[in-house]
Parts: sequence; C-alpha cells; structure tokens
Amino acid sequence: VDGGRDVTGYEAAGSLQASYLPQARNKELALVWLSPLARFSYRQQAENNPQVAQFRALGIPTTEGDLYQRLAASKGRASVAVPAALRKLVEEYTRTQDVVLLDRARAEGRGLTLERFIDSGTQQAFLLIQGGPGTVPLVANLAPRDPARPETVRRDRPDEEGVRAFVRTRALWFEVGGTR
Amino acid sequence: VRLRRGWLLVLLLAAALVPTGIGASLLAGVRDFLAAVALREGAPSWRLLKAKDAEISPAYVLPAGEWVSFHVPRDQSVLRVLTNAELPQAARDALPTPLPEDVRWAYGVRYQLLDSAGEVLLEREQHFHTRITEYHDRDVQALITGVYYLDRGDVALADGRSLIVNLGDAGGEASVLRLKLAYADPPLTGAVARVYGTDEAAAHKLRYLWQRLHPDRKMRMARGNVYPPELLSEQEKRNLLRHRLKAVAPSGVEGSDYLQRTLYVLREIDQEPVRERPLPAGLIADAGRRAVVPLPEEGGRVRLVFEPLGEGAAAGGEILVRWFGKGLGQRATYRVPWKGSRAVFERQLGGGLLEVEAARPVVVRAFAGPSAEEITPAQVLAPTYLLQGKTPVEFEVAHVGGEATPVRIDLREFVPAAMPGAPARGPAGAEVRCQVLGAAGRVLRELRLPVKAPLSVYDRLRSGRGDLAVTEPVTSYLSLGPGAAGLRFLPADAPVAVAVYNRPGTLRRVTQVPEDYYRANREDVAQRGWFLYRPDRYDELLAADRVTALSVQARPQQDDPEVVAGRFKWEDFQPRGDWRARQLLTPRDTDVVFRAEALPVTYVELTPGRDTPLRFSPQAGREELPLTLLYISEKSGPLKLAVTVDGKPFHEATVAGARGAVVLPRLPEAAKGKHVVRVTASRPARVYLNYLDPGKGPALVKRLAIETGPEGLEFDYDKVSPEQEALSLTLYRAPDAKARTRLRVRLAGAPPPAAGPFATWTFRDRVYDLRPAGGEPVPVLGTETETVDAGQRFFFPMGADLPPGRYRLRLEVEEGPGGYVVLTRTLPGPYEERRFFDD
Repeated sequence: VDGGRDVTGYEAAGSLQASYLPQARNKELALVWLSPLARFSYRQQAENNPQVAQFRALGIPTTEGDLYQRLAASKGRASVAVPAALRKLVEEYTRTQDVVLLDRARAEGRGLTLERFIDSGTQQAFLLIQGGPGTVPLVANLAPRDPARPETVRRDRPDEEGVRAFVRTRALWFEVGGTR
Repeated sequence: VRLRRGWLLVLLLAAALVPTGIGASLLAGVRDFLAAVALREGAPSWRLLKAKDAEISPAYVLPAGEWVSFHVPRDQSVLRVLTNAELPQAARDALPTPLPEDVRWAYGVRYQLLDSAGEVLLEREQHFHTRITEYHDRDVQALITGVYYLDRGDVALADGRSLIVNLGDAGGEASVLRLKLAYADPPLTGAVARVYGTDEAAAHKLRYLWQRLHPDRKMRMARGNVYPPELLSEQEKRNLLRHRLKAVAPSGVEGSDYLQRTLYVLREIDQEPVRERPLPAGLIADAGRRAVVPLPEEGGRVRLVFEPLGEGAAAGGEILVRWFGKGLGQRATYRVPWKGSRAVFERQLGGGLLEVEAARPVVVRAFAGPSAEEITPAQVLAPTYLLQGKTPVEFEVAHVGGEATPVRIDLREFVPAAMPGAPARGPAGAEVRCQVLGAAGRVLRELRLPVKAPLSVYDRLRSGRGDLAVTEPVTSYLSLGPGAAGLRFLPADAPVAVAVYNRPGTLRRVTQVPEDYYRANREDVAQRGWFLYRPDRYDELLAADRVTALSVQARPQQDDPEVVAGRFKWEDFQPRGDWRARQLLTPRDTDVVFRAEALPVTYVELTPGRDTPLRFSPQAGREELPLTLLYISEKSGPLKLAVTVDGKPFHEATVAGARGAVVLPRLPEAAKGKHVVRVTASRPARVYLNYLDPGKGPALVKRLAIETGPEGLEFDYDKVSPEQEALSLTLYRAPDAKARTRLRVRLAGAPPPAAGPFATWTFRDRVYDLRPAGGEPVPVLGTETETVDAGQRFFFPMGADLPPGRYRLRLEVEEGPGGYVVLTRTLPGPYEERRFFDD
C-alpha cells in the first residue's frame, strides 16, 4: 500500500495481526487482499443455484464424487477428442454463464456426453465431456480463475497430483495426453 | 471555582518541570481545564469528566499551505506520523447515532524528506479515510471518543490514521520531515499530527522494566497476542520493551512556525464501540417494505415471531398478516397488535404465501409444522448492472441453430440514499436507450424503454450494508433473430439498473404442477422460465462498482377485482375434429362469487322424499326455467323418479343407469321465487336440481370434459385482447392413478413472434409434469361407476407477443395416464353477450 487514493483503507497498520509485531524481532507482516473476482473462483460451486438451474433445464445430469478417482476409473490413456467449436463454446460459457451457449455446446457435442461433476473435496463444479470407452473425459472448470485467458493443465495420465494441481489452480481445462 | 487537590499538585509539578519542556504540556492541560471550567454552565461536559482519565498529548496543526518541519532524530529507520482529522461537532451531531457504517471522510497528507542542505529527497502524498468511533461511557452517561480537545468543544476529532515514513526510501540521509495538509473533504476542516521516532531501551533495563509496568499497560502492549500478558515469553516481553516511541517536536517557534493543540487521549476504554448492529436473522418489514413467507403446500400450524428492529423501537399500531391460499376464496387478513416488543402470531393455515405489513420496523421469523421447523425464506439475491457510468453495458446474444433467441430485460430505477437532512426523492421515471447490435457492432435498431413504475414494497437494491428502495421491474421481452449479436444499454443519467435474461429459443418450458406453484424461490422450480447471464466486460463493471445485487421476494398473486366481484366472462372450449367427452360433476368452489350465468350447470342436492323449500332463480331474459334433475345411485337398474312442486305432481320418469340427467318440463318464468319441491326415488339415490343459487353452500358443477385420447387434441382459440390472456386447463385422471402425467401443450402453426418489445411473453411449447390430484372422487355422468380425481389445474398464458387472432392449441399426453381435460378462459370485466333462447 503506497498511500494512494485507490488503496486507502487497505493498510496493514491497525489490524490486530499487526499489533503482534512489536513482540517479535525481524519479522514482517503482509496482508493480501483478494478481489471479489479472485474470490469467485474459490467459492463453493455445489450450491451455485443459477448454474444448477441451467444444467437441469438442459437435462445435463449433475453427479458428485472425487474428481481424481472419477478420471482414473475411466482407464483411458488420453482425453476424448473434442471439436474446437465445442471448446470455444465452453470457454465462452464460463465467461458469460449464458445458457444459450451451454445449449449450443450440448448440440455441438453430438456423440459426446456432458455431465456436471461436483468434486466432493473442494465443492468445485466441473463439466465432464465424455466419449467412448478407453478415453478420459475432458474436464472444464465451470468457474475458472480467469475465463478470458483459458489455461490448460496437461498430463500424460490422470495422476492424482496432476488432478489436484488442476483443481487447486482453477485452470479451465484438464487434458490427458493431448486430445485424440 | 472549586479546584481539586489533584489539580493543584499538577500545577505545582508543571511549574517545576517547565524548564524540561514536559511542564509546558501540563500547563497547557491546566489552561484547557480552566477554560472548560470557566465556560461550563450547569452540568460539566463528558470531556471535562473524562479528563482525569486522559493522557495529554501535544499535536501540531497541519496547515494547507505551509509546511511544518520536524528534525529527524538520529539512528532512525522509520518515523511514525499519527494524524487526526478535525470536523465541526455540529457536522457530527447532524448524523445519526450509531454513525452509519458507510460514513467515511477522506483527507490527505503531503510529506517531504529533506537532507541537511534542504534538498528535497522524497515527496509523497498519503490518502486516508477516517470516521469517528464512539463509545457509550457508563460513568458519564454520554457518547465519548478516544481522543478529543478539552478546550474546543465545537470541534470533533476523527479516528487517528497513521503514516509510516520509511527513511530508507529517501535515497540519501534524511534530516528533516515536512508535513502539510493536501486536502480534507467536507465536513473535515483540517488535521493535526504527532510524529514519533523510536528509542531503544538499554539491554540491562529490559530485565526489570516489565515488572514495573502497570497491569493495564501490559494488557495494552500485549493486545496482539491471543493469550494474556502473564503468558508472554521472556523474549516477547523484551521485544515489547526494546523499542519505545519517542515524540518529536516541530522546529521553530510556536505561533509563527507551527500551531500546537493539546489532545486528550483516553488509552483505556473498556466499552464496545457504539456501532450499527448487524441485522438480526429474519425478514424485515417496515413502512416501505413487506415481508413474504411462502407456506409449504400442505400448510399446517404457522407461527410468526416478530421482534422490534433497531434501538428504541416504537410501539403502537398493528401488524397486518395477509394469507394468500390457492384459490380466490383463500384469502384472509389478520391483525397483530404491536406494543414495541416481541409478539407472536399463530394460526392453522393452508399452503400459499403470507405477507407481513408493518408500520414500525420489525423482524419476522416463521415456523411451521408440529416440530416448528423454521420456514423463514433465505434471502434471494440477483445481480443487476448499473447504467450510470461512462461506458455502456453490453450483452452478447447467442442463438441455437439459427433460431431467434427470446430475451427478457428488467429495468428498475432505484432511489439513492438521501444526504442527512435532505428530503427523500422518489423515482423520476427515466427512459433507457437500448441498441440491438448486429455483426461487428453495427446498430440494427434502437429502443427507448421507459422505466416508470411504482416503488417496490418487496425488493431492495443492496448497497454496502444498507438497502436502497427500487421500483418494481419494468419488463420488456424481445425476440432477437439470428442477425442480432448483442444488446447495448447506453449510459443513463438516472439511477437505473438492468438485468438481462434469455433462454434457448427451442427449449420447451417444463412446469411441475402443483409443486412449482408453491416454490417461491424460482431457482428451485423444475425449470426456470428465464436465465440470467453476464454482460461483456463484467470484470470492468465490477471494478467500477456497477454490479449490485437485488434482494427479491416472491409476490402474492394480485387478484383481479373484477373477477373477485364476479364480473368476468367465462368460456370453455371444445376441440376440433372428432373427440369424446363426458360430463363431470365437480364440486363448486364455495369461495367464489356465484354468478347467474352458472345457474344452468350448477346443481344443489335435495334430500329424496322430503319437502324442500326452494327459490328458483331464472337467467336474465329467459321466460322459462329449463330444469334438469341429476341422479347418482350406487347400483344400476330401473329407478323411478317423481317430482312434485308445491304439492302438485310435476314430472315422473323411470331411468335405467346408475347416473344421469332427466330434463324436466319447463317452468314458466312466473314460477321464479319460492316453491316447495319434493323428489322421490324408488331406491337409494342422490338427486340434484339446477337453477338454484347455492350462495356459499355446497353444489356440483356439471362440466364437459374432453377425453385426452392417444391422438391428442386440438383446440381453436380466438385471442381477443392484445394483452395477456390466461387459458386455464384442468386434467382429471382416475382416482387411483399414481403416476405423474407429462402433458405437452403447444401452439401449432403460429407465426414466429415479432421482434418486440412486448410486456408479456408466451412460452409456445410447454410440458406440464402433473401430479395426481387426489381429493374427493368426481362422478362421471353417463357411466355406471366411473369417477375421476379432483382435477389438477394449470395455466397456459398467451402473452402480448401474440396479437389478437385465431390460434391452434395442441395437447398430447407424452407420458403417464391420460384422462379428461377442461380448457377454459376467464376474461375479467363486464362484457357484452347476445343469447338466443328457445323458450
């Protein structure tokens, strides 16, 4: 905080935590302020009622479980191939939350199955795009950190560390082995 | 003037310490005290009463133009500058108590670091927001502040704000710190500052200094710890004592180079600050807002608990509790006396809604059922976007398969909070410019949407910790063809908020009946009618504080006064082509006003074999009474029925079936009025007669119900009004039906909607997921034993997007049991009708 007008009120001085500093030596305190936009990605999505209503209206089922176990159970080696247009629609949907785009994504994904999946550990909501046997569902975080700049976590296999990292970073896509 | 002995001691001590400089401050305190005592008239002020508990601290006025200079003591890495803004006490007194949480005043301090040659090494400006924290002191029975002037009772001091000047940032050896006031927004009039360096205590003193401290001081120094001072480690104690703040005085001569003030600082205030209390749990009802509590479908014992809201809640008047049940007749108003303290309302009620209206602010919580489960609804918040700003608010418009996309626009004007003392302003009635954009942002058309509506008594716009009044939404529906790519709402001068909804153009509307009619939270329904979505550059709007939340409530159904009064036109419809139908004897809704138009189809039960005094009511314009006798018996076989009127034989008939109708000879119009009628039956049967006004009593209504059949049904329907008309449908199924029925109802062959805007919208393809109705079995006339359930009623609104004309309505059972359907329309208001009678 440099004293500027736009950061007025964000000073660390005066906070209860800062008042401990005189009891310590060579210690520093930093306060991190998170904007509502940053916090949005870390909100629990299981009870995102508008989102629930959209998926229910379009007949896309919602299930809950552990994301890593769900992906590992697919026993596939690579993520299902998904048309670029469908990817684009999903990315646009996460930005605008427009049900028409979600409906178009459903239409674009003919032959694929869409499912809303709640990761029980983090209560984050994901879209699983599933293909035939032997493929891993392509996963999209429905509340990514930065919908305008979609990021992808790519792994050779749906390993636990990779899936947890994907959930933790709020990247938009999780992909295994490059799409087939 | 009576001086206390303690003050005399202070005077003597001050005189002795004058050469050290400390005495000057003490003397200033004595001077302030004498000034305060001299001015006092009657009871002493809290400032004087609390002076004995206060520490005196010299502070220096920050002038707006000139600098005040402080020499930087040696061996300092940082200097601490503690500032307090000043404002007129009258300005504080003009604001409410507790001080509203959103009250913040801005001021800025400019500072420079100079080297020994007077060269400016660093110059910066520090901005502050401040307010006044007040405490209610029990001893003096007054609101006090932690810092104040004793001799300047007309000036209030705001909370201190500190600035830490890092001398290392200067890029050279800083010798002088200079301060001045950069600005002070009204009502602030200036600021004072205190400058502190740090002094390191000698290591050998650290061992015993802690033991010599006053317990209150220990407590204050250790306040950053979660545990009490006794549990501090030796290292923590030494660290606390190692650095002591040391005041730095300005350079020059007081009066010419700087102005000194004397602050009275209360270090120990054990009361909690006086603050706005967080809102208690429950719904708020007051003069401008009503609380709505949805009741579960099954109803039950409902308990409302009212608590006063705010300090000093006023008593008097009453709280109105209105109950809105399923039908027109299910309405009631209850009055709860309000004495300014907790009140409870308890009553057995059916499903529906409760509306609470209170002249005084109250908080209400609702409980229902045998276990008194809380049914107070959770607050429903919907995002909305402010049009006041430099940039427009734009929404993309997507399409599914080249179809037009229906869009709903909700505009509301809100009433900004009035400044204290200013008169409250109502909505001005704004107009919003909305552009329909094509490819590459080309403007295809521009709409001017009015935002004129009354203030809502149900909804509020959230603003900080408070709420602002908003108007009811002005809703416009558009049908945006594939060429439309966006909507742009231009910046508005008026305080207007917009929310845009859409839905896929091809999506069927699904409604669960009757569950959805009881789900006040629209997010819980089987399928929402409209889906909110975000505008472009949402992040920028959020950063500009243009994204707000609307707190919305369910609304009780607005009864049409014409329908309530029985002034409406009722019509039923028969399908096209071949169809099969039966007449059902359904119970009449006793809460609805009886109308003469219903005389031919309304039947009142008579007791067979007993004289019954009756008053026949002919329809206007008829010269005869075409009476019909209905009979229902358990068994079939010959049944002889005889009717006498005023003791004279009137008609005899022998019928064969278990149920049916016997058309009686017509009575002349002159026969209207009182008669004694007796019907005798040769075996047990129930008999009914028409042309009798049942009043509030029970009666049966004969309805022609159409069998749904496997092929579906098509009705031709003439929409007569450009406004919305509601078609009412009732599906009767077998009483033992357990499965739900999915009934698809759609407009077949209707032209696509025009572009709009329209005030109401038609979902042209709907699916009703109908639960079996249960209830008393309804006899089916013309059958031996068939009965149906009480009928599940649902609605198909025909909106303003459908111009008057003929439309074809197609019904198909998609899943589950079929039955009989009745399609009717009610048009409120007086109407003209021509009737042709064969008398």
